[in-house]
Amino acid sequence: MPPPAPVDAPPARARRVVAAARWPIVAAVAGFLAVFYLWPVASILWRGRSWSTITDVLGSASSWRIIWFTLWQALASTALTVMVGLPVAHVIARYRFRGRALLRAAITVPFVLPTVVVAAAFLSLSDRLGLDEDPVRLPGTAWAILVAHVFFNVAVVVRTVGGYWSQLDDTPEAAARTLGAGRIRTFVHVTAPRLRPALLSTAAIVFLFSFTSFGVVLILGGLRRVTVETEIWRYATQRTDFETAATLGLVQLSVVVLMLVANSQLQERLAVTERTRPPAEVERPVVRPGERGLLAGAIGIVAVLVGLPLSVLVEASLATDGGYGLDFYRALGEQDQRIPLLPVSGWQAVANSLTWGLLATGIATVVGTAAGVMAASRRRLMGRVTDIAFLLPLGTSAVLVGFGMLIALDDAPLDFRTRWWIVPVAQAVVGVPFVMRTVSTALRSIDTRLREAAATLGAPPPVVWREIDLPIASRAVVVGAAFAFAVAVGEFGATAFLARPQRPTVPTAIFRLLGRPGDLAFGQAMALSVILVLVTGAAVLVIEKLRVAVAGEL
Amino acid sequence: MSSEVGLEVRDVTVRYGSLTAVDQASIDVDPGAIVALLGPSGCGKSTLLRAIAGLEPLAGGSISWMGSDLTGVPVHRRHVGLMFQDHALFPHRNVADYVAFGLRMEGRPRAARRRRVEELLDLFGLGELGSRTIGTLSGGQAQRVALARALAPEPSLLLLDEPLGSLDRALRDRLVHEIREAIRELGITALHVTHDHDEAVTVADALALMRDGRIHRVGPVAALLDDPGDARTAEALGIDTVWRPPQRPDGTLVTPFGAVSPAVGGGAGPYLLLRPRSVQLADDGQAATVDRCRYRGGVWLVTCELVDHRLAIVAAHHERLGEGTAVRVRADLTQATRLEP
Repeated sequence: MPPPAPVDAPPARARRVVAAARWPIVAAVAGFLAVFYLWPVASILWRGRSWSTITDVLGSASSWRIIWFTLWQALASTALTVMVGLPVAHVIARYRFRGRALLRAAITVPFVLPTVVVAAAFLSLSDRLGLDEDPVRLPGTAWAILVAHVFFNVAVVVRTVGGYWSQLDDTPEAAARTLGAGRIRTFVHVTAPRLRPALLSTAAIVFLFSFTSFGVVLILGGLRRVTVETEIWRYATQRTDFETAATLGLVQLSVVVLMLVANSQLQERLAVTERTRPPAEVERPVVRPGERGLLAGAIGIVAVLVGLPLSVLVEASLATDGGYGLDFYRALGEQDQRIPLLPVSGWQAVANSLTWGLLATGIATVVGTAAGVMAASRRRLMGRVTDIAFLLPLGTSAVLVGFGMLIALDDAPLDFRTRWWIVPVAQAVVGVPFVMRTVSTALRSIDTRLREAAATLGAPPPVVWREIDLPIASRAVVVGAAFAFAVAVGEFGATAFLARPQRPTVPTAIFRLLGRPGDLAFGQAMALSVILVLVTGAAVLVIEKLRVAVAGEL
Repeated sequence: MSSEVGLEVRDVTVRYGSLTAVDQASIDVDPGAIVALLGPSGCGKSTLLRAIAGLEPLAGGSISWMGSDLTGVPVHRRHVGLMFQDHALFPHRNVADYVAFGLRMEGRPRAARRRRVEELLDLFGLGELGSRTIGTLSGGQAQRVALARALAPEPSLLLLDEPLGSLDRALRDRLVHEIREAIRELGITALHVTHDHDEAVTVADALALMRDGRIHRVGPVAALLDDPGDARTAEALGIDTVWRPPQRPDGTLVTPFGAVSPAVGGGAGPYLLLRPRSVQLADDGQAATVDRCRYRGGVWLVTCELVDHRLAIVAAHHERLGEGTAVRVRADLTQATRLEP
């Protein structure tokens, strides 16, 4: 029997080597965040600090109307999204049926759809249903915005609450049933309280997205329905009143921070350890008539909410004067010399989007993975700081990020505003939190005993990382990268500030086309939207494929 | 130099903040011996095991193996096998890969690895399962794979942390036997943590009894079962036929079956251990009423209340008796053992 290996290298030295590699990475990640997020946003706050502007803005009744509407529509969107999403989440989490993966993928598509496309889809929907003329005029109303927000965010509820739900041990529910509680009472008294942590964090995310929603409100709200977010854009770009825009940014950021703090405190108060079980042990086939009804309802919700706008979008992109055809797609490649709708061809915009999107994905993946590792670090302080620092970009509106970059990165030594790469960097800032979240969640979910088992079998710390952490994290990295890609390709808020008119991306091109009169412009906008749906749909396929692989093995 | 001692644990203390999980525990394990660390849940036995593996830092004391100090040696250099409760199998590998992991860490060539893996899979009857993934294994198979993985790099010391905790009775009995056989065959020194006294007694040569972070008794299985010495140890070993009869000033214990003077049982403690096998139901005994019956180890243990003495006694019997049945009981006091508190 071999004796224990002699201690040939003092462990302190090995630790020093690892530490030496760690700090440059931490510095690089922190530097990225500081230059491309913190400094731009801080610059806005600095610009908006003028007391006279603040009193001007807060003293006017119209700003309060805008703030009130922004809050109101965000709360209403959140409540509606949860109401629509919960039944679907329940069905997908608890029942086993053919086509479940398809249903989950279908509900996810809207979430990665660019907001511009969502808006375009609802415009074409109201066009086809005849809802764009009086007396029933949908575009320009709060309803249009709410419905589009539900469409966009229902995936968040289904995926996060559903994911949590599917792993929840169902014994407490069974116990409640044997103690005489009916299905409804069991849900109200047992399931709902257990879902509360997931529901709260989900509601917070949906609220944030709705509160800072840009493309949807800008296009569907028109001139009548404006929010803080669209007003920042209008003041900054159309009235070039940077002070008022910055003050509105300050207002928006305050609400977001207040909400995040309140939510994290609530989360901490409600934190409980739940017994989890592999989803396969908890889910059941659909048997009883009530369950069939529930399943049919969930499918119906998804079909109407997701299928209808998307199929109308495709239909509108094909419906030309002379029947159905690919005219609008063909038109993307041609430049009308007399009245150019776009400065470049539509296909050039697609190429721009893909190039920048891939670059942004690369940046977001590298930075986000490093940040994810830092967030999952056993050093509590570093983990917490990274967690919060990279959640901020998720909570900050893209418009603020783009606007901030526009005004902050304008002087030496940070004179980056006019560089071509600023667009993918901005898109990466928006995409980084997604990569960080998926990676850190995967790393945190690793049972420490796996690492311990590897160590007792002779694996030194770097090897433990390579053998245990890396294989599990690498799938998460790909999933995060796919999310970042979808986000970058469809990014509108920040890109609208930074992309030059001569080099539009697909979303900015769509926005521009929607602002032009005529069927050709509308048709081309629809065609570009369909192309964007296909590109982001491919990203969703990657996510779904790997999600199943990860869950199937864990 | 005490080359006889394999594992030497001296006054080991482990603290979690202000909580002392292990309090100056000491234990010696001879090379090739199997020792069971037995105690109720939460007594610190798993923590002590983790400290020996190097997974918990020591707040005091020392651990050495074959005379060399392990205290400063990091986990992966200790060459100690650890089998976890709930297996801790890596989710992203197949069975052959799990088992080969430690061999790969040693840098053994591929061919040698494959040979050793096959050898171990055969030893545990897992021959055809090499390419299966964790999700497809049954509880018993997963347990065997975990043991094979721990044994693959030929550790000189094997630590088992409640390895059978999650299995059903019949499977446990079979696996306890398999584990003992495998360890014996490979000549490994082993420390087996469990809260189940039957499992401990079956698997081990010697027992270390732990309570509240301390080891309060160590000894060979046979000797401890024969004479637990004190009531606490008897309880830990699952021996529950202990009496506390009236005691005379001279130390003699007075029972309905006669007196036990201090010399007879070996000790002078106030407790009396009377095993069911030395208590019989017989016509010429004391009058008693059956209180309850339980089935254990192939016989019925009948708890009776002695009619005139308000004292319960347990007798072994071949059949179940109804509650309240009148019986007569005879006990052989020469088989009784006196215990300290």
